Amino acid sequence: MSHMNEVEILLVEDNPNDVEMTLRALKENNLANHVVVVTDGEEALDFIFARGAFSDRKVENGPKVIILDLKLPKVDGLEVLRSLKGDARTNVIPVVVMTSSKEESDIVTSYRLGVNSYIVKPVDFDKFMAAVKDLGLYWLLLNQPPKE
Amino acid sequence: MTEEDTSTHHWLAERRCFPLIIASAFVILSVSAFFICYRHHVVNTKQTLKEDRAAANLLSLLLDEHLNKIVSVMESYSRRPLLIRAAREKNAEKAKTHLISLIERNPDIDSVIITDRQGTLWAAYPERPEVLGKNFAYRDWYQGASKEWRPYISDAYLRVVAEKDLAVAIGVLLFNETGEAIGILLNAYRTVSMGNMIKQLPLDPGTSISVADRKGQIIYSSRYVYEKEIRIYPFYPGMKKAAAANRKIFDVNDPELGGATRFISYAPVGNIGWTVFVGRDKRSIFISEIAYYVQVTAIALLLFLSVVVFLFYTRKQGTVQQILNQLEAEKKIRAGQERFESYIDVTTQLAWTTNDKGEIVEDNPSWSKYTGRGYEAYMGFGWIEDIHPDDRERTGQIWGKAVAEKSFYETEYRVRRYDGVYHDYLARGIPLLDEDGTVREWVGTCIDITERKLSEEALINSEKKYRNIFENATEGIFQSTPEGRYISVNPAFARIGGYSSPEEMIESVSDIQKKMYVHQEDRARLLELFNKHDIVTDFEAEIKRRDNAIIWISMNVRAIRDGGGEITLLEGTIEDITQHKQAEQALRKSEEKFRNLFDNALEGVYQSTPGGRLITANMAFARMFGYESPEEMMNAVTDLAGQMYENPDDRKIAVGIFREKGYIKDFECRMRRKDGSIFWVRYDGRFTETSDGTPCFQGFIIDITERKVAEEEIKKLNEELEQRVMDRTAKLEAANKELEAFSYSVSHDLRSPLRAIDGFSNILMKEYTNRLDAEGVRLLNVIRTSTKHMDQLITDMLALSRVSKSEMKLSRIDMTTLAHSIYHEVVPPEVRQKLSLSVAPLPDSHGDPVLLRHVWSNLLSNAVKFTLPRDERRIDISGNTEKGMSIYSIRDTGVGFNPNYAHKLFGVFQRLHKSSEFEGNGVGLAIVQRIIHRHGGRVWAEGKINEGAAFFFSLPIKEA
Repeated sequence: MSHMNEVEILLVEDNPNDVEMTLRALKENNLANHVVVVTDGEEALDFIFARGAFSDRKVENGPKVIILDLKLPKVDGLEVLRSLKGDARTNVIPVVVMTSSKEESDIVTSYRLGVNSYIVKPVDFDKFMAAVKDLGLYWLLLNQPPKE
Repeated sequence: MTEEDTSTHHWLAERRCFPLIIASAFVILSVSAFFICYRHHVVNTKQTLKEDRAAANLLSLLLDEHLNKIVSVMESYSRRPLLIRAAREKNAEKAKTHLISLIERNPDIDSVIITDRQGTLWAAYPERPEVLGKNFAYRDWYQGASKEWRPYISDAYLRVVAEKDLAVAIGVLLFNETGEAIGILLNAYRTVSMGNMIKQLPLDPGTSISVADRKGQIIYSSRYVYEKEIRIYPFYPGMKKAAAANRKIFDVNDPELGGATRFISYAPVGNIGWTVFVGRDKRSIFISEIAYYVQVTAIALLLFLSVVVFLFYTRKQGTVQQILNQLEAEKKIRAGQERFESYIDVTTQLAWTTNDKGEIVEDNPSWSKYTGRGYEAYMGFGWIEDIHPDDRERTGQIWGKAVAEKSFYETEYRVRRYDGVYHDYLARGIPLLDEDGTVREWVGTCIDITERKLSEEALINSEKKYRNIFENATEGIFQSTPEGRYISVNPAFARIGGYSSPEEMIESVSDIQKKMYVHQEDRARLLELFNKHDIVTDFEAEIKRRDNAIIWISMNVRAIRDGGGEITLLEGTIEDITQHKQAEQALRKSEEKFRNLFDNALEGVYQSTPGGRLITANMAFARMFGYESPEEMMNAVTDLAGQMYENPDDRKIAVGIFREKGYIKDFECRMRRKDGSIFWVRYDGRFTETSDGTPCFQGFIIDITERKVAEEEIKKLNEELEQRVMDRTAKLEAANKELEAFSYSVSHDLRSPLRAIDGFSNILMKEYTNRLDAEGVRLLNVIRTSTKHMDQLITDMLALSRVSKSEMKLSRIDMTTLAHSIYHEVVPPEVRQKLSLSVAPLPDSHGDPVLLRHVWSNLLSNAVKFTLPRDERRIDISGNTEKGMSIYSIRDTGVGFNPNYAHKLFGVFQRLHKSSEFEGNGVGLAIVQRIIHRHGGRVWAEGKINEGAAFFFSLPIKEA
């Protein structure tokens, strides 16, 4: 799975409807070529740290951006974020939390842990599409990551 | 000083010993000094003489040398060949040169001659023609020289030429080639030059130097005149004797010195037969030693003086000590004397004797001692002057009479003591008779009776005093018969009894028992007491006064008995104690009162010892503990802590408090009744003393069991309540948690399906538009609108729950500014243009700024929302304070509402308008109300349909 080392977007989302809508939004903007979807926190961590099913990956070849839902089975999003930002190999990867929660505590905690962006999923489809589009464009095209 | 010291100094202090010691010291020192001087003299003499001998030897050596030198010089000429030749030829002219040379070069040589072998003079210088050719063979120098043909030094002779002074001839021989003597070269050597040489020598000035030749003629002398004559050294023969005896020194008696001894040392000069003498006057040795003697003497004197001074000092010390001893001894003597005197004072016996005429004819030491007058003063009848002037005449008469009648003499008189004090004396005397009946002498004594006199006087005085006491005492004093009559009473008793005088009382009281006693048996009782006792004290009884008034008296009575033990007399004192009795009764009454109080008190009253015994307890106390009576209880309880306390340690604690503070207050503990049941008490008390001084705790005790039970119940209830509250709180917390989780789920999970509904209906609409007709599109839109509405509802619900949940952060808020800023925040500018807003100054509030922003924002949005459709669009904001609350109002000219539903305005999801008319879902005001309530305020609204609405909220004023 060599393509696993060229992933640009890691989407961590358990809700298949949201996954479909997100991918649709990315596809419409031609950003969906190197997207990997994982559906729980544990899988997300396996991918990021090249463990388990993803053990042939290299941790250094991280995705350009991780879109992370907070409410996840097994390991929740904040936990994933904490592990990610607590590791020197992975803490430079931009993480965008995209969640339904408008809870202030979630927002504050996320930023404390070093999230790069926090987006509340709009219920309105058009707004949702716009948000994903902007997000993809910004992090994949506009944003300049640090050189390895 | 110690005893030893005293004895050491004692002999020094002896008058005879002292000069002896000094004399001995003097003798010892003198002998020592003399001995030292003598030794010195001997040694010095020896030394001096030794020096003299050395000087003599030295001088002889010098002379020898000197003469040898001259001989050598002459010999050096005598060997001159030219001179020899001239001698052979007897050529005076030729020889002359040599002779001149010899004289000129040697100042010691002033004339020379040359003779031939036979002694005939053939050459001389200075020239002396008169002797040329003259033969001198007779001269000793020729004989000496020709004897062995050797150089020769002659004896002294007087020169006949020139100066005619003493000289010696020194001759050397002239030899020809064959060694034969052909002549003599002779020098007349003047001894003066030798003397000059000797004089230059550093010789002891105390000595005299003489040189004598073979014949003893003086060649040189520092003492004798020798230059002009030949003189024999006077001690030459002595020397010869000494030499014969092989003595190097000898002494002579010098006639020129008046026969004083002279020491002479001598030494021969070489082998020429001369002798050097060194003479020394023996006295000169002495003289040289004088300085030394003086020193020795001075030292000896100093030593002597020191010794004397030391002795004097020591003696003085000894004397002082002696004086002290003497003083001590005197003191002792004086003490003895005083003692003796005091014996006299004590015994005060004077013994005396007189002659037959009554004259004192012997020294009487006791009299002298007593009167301090000498025998001369009182001899004969002089003693009468020592008698007191007032007694003299009488004494004289009695004495005269006794002497005349030769009868026993006795009288009293006063005699003056040495210090002028008169003592009373009893004088007694008897005549001693010879065989013929004449009086030989009188002997007698005088006894000092001053003391006796004084005691007699004192007795009289004391009697007076007691009489006085009897008469003036405030206590009654009496004597009575056992039968019941007074023998004597004092005025005080009469007064107590109401009688005008003791006499009246004795008279009128014919029977004490009947007349005096209120209760007649009292007297019988008193008399009965005397069966057992001799003295009855504090006997109290009521008696009748003369005026029949009753008084209380107290008596101390003594019974006086005869030999058979029968009472003959009663005597004693009596005191009116009526007042005292009354006071006693009053006291008893008040005591009874308190006793009553004590016995009937409802509270327990106690007195207990620290050791744990009850001293006092009242009825209430006894009953409290289940006893029938205090007596029973006090007998039963011997250990308070063990018997009465459920926990004996409680008493320890209480005792500790008593001791520490001196009192105890509200001490509560559990006690044990007689039957063993337990109950609660509370007690107070003080740590004090009982009337007899025993330390005790005393106070009150009450049974608080009922209260305690009630308290226990309350406590139990409280505990239960607390437990219940805790349970509730836990439940509430759990519910809160649940609610939180619920809200979270709502916010998160409820939205996802909505998003899916909206999303997929949208996709459907976009991607399947061509397959849907207009009605299908409209239905899809309805779905989407409902979805959004649902989302809004969820959002508002969450807001409401957050308002209830969130923690409030209170601070002071400027409400005027806040209202302004919120208005500008929530109302877009284009809308504001259509409105007029007035904000009156608002009181500051105290609250959570975030929440109050929410309130303002909500109320202002509402006001704007409902005012916009109207023609007149005005919003007025004002505020005031009232009853501790700040009240704020937002009044608008909007559409208003039906006041009948005003109470529904603040309910959740309550709307008074159709949603088609105004946006909103009915949660806003509910949130406002929730916030205001949380601040402790109130919110309400006024309004009518189409007449605008006014919203009020109040907040409590908090003092800064």
